[in-house]
Amino acid sequence: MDPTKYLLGYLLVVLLAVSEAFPMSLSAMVGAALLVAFGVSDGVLSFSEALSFIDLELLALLVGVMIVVEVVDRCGTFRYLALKVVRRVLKRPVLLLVVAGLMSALTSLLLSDEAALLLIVAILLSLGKAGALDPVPFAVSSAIMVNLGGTGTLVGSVPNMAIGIRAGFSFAEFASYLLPCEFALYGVTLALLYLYYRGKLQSSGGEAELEEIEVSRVDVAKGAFLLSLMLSLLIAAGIAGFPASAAALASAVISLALAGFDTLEVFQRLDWDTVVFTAAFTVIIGALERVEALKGLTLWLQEAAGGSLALATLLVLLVSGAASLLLPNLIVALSFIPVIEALPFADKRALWSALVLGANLGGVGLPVSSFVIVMTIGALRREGYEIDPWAVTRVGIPVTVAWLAFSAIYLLTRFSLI
Amino acid sequence: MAKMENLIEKRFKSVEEKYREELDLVSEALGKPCIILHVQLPEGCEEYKELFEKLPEDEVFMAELQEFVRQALKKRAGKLLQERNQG
Repeated sequence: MDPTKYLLGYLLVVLLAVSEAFPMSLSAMVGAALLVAFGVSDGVLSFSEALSFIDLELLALLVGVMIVVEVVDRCGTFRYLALKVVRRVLKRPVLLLVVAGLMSALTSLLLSDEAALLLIVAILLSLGKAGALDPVPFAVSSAIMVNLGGTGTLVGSVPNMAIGIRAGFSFAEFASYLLPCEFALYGVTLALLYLYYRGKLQSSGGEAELEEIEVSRVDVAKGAFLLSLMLSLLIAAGIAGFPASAAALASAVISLALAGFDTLEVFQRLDWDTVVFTAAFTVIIGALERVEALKGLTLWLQEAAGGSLALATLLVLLVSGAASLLLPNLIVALSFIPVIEALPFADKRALWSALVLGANLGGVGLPVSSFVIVMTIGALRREGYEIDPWAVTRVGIPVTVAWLAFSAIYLLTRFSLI
Repeated sequence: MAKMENLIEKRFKSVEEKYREELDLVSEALGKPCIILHVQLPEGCEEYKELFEKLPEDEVFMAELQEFVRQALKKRAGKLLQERNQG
């Protein structure tokens, strides 16, 4: 079977997704329909088989986590904590850079990247409006830290969920492989950001009214409880041998029942574009696997690694990191999963971890690949701050290179590959 | 370059409503209460849809709106006081 037309269909979806001519979900649905039609007409695939490529466990985990995150976000827990912490360090710019960066990363680790970024940028721009600081260096740094946050847990990002489920990692196992690297990268990144922005960090405290923080303490406590509950259930599910998706769905049900928010409103705010894209793209990847269209990449990796797991790990990290510089990280993760599955190594933990790091960390090198950077630039411009998007690459590229270099060393030592 | 500008505009537009909500919630938490209003495009102004959508970014318009709110509040507060004195 010549896989050329299947690969062309895949490339069409990737190009449509990158060009953002249509919503990602629509691009993937068009591609899935095209590849399934090819498969049915070539007699290599039936419609019901194509439907079976949709990973229901992944979708359940994704929707469950999205519901909990939306409820916790509405409770205002992170808003309260972020404002409390920022208030304490407002007049110390270096400490503010560190605190805003850590808050961004940790918020994104537990909430979505978008929610984390909107929160931190809104706080920084409110302070900027009040004359307390120049928000540009703090906001760009926070966007970079948001991209880094969420690398280390199974529920930290959608690529993580997709990779973690296919790798068979429990929540605790995933964290044990990747969380130490993420925490170490916080230090590396903050040091680089400080070096880059040290002459531009200004914060006077101005006339910002930060004395009163008026939020409902009950809601804040509720949010903290629901988040802790989800994390506890995810850990418990791993120990008991239940799928993480079951824990996420149970947490979602409890969150909706306890929080008292309008359920339909919560559902409306979920990122359905990502959910539908994930479902449709798994069909595309399933069809590609069926006609062995990804075999070329697998064979290339296999030959280049020459049987060395260390080399294969570094190649996966490098290639997926470079790919996610240009492509959405979910596309990179979903496309690489079957490649890693086909590689002839008995223990693939290092390879899966390399894919997690590569897919997550390539995101801030270029503005075009980084949703968080572009969102930050957009918000800064709305508030009247002029910022050249390409100037951000001057900090984004070195940070990405440092992340990938550090990750390479981490993987080699963590999995005793040297 | 123009493509990049379009991309920034398009991506930010997709989250702008959420961003404004977050900004309002932060302002409120900082002790500055705010209200969120949904204003429809007035009838007969259909051809000004683009201008209408850019109003929230227009600093002069926002300052005028703020002034309008200030005047409206003063008027209502005065009326309330008058009613109380009469009652």
